[in-house]
Amino acid sequence: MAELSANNLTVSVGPKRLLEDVTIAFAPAKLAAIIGENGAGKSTLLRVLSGYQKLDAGQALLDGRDISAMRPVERARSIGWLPQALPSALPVTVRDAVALGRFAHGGTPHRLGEADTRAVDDALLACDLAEMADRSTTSLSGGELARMHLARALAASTPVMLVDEPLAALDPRHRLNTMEMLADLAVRQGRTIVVVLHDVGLAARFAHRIILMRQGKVMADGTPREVVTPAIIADGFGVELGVDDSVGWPQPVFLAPINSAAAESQTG
Amino acid sequence: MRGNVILWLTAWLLIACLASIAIGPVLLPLAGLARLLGEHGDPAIATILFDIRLPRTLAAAIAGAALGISGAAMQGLLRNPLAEPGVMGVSASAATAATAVIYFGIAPLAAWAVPIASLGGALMATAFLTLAGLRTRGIATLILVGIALSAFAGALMALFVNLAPNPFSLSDLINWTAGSVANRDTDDIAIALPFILAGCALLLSVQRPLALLVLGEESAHALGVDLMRVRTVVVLGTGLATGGAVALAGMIGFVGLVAPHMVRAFVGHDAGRTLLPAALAGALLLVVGDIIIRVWPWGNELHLGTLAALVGAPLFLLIALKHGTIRHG
Repeated sequence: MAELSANNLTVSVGPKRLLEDVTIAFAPAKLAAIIGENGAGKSTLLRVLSGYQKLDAGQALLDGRDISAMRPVERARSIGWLPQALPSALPVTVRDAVALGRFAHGGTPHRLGEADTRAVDDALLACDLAEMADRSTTSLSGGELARMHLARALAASTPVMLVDEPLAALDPRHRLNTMEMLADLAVRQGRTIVVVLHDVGLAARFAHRIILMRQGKVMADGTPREVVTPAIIADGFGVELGVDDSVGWPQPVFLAPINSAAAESQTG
Repeated sequence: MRGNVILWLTAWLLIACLASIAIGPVLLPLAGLARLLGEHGDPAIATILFDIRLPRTLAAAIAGAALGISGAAMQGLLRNPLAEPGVMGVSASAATAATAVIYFGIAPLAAWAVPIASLGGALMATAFLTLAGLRTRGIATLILVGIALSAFAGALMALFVNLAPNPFSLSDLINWTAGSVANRDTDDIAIALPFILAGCALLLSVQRPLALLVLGEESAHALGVDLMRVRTVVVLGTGLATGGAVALAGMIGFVGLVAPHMVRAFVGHDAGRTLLPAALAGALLLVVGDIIIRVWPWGNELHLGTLAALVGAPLFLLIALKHGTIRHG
């Protein structure tokens, strides 16, 4: 069980503030989705929580310990991070690429222990890749490649998983599978899972909690029903929203972009 | 599979070394060598063996191994199939620093002056390339940075030649820039070898994390790679190995490019697992190359670096075209 928290995070690049005084905590056994417009600071927040991004101010903590001060291998055994920018193809088989996820546990694609092999097999199965395990990754489609990277992150068997936009290249079936799997990993295995999503509908359906970010700040934080409302979505995305509650979760229906002048007068 | 490749390469390297000892203007019969060196043997044979052929063969093997492992490590760190000490200007920087020390009269003060300068030049170049690699995207850009560095080092070398208080001997300049292992003695090897061994040991110590860099720096970090440590070790390792190789044999390009590509077909694309086979392949290439220039039938003996460039440059072009870097940048 791992508690992830961040206090007063501030990150700037040149004159631009990517994160501004963000304080947030993520509990075990919950799937949290971060949504927000492009450039809202979602990926930067994950980069900070993974210990990759240097901070101007604030502190990111795992069970009270400063993440940036942890030894790389020790950190990688606790916090898994699947970044957005990933190589398009690697000149290795799918299984070997997934096995790279076992680095922090001492495994390599050429020397896998029993636990390593089990983790790799489970990850391949969970991401629907078992049948193509021995294919070269250069022969995979964009969606298959995205699932391979997700499998690699899964194979690391970390109590915390930070997943940045894993659905972009996936077809509807694999989008649903992936979200179901992430929710399942949180609930059944007690993992702390934070996923950045552009699909507000899938966030509303599967996440236990939604965090809406805008301009480096947390604008709203709550259950899907608390966050996916016309007023909050208009504020965060600048779009007019209808909500279809008949399906059992607040399914958003994006109606029209709100032009910026109108948005200004609405918010200001 | 990899173990077999290492065994095969070692066997071929031994055969090549024996051939290199035997072949030359005077053919040494390996079978009767012990008798020829014996009490009633020919002292000239001993001179040829111990003062000429053996140091020359060892120098070629050691420099080739250093360049091969450096190329494999640079390709892994920079995630660039075209990276190697020669193309990227590391060898040129090392040679420039060494030239400066020679022609400003510092070299006679200590036997270590030239190798140390050579190492310094190589370390500065690898550190610069690593910093540039962090800021550039795309394979072609970094190669252009390397080419600029190479040109700048060449220009500096020309400048030193102009400014040097001692008249510069053209043949010395050619020896540095064209690369050669002719006329090396055991002292030359003894000075360069510790640096090269230290460089190789450093590079082999980051075999495992190097394999993960293929995923990109963010993912490698996420999986537990200490990026700063790997970068520092590779910069130091390639700096020491390449600097030592240049101090021993001058500038020999393309070995660091060709050796890793040669072995990749057999050991796969894991950058870490390529290191040792690439070192053996590099040694094999230079020992064989040095035999070829000795039996070269036309005119004066060719420089080893010239032969390496004659063979390596077209291969560089082939690899570049294969990876689409020239067409797609």
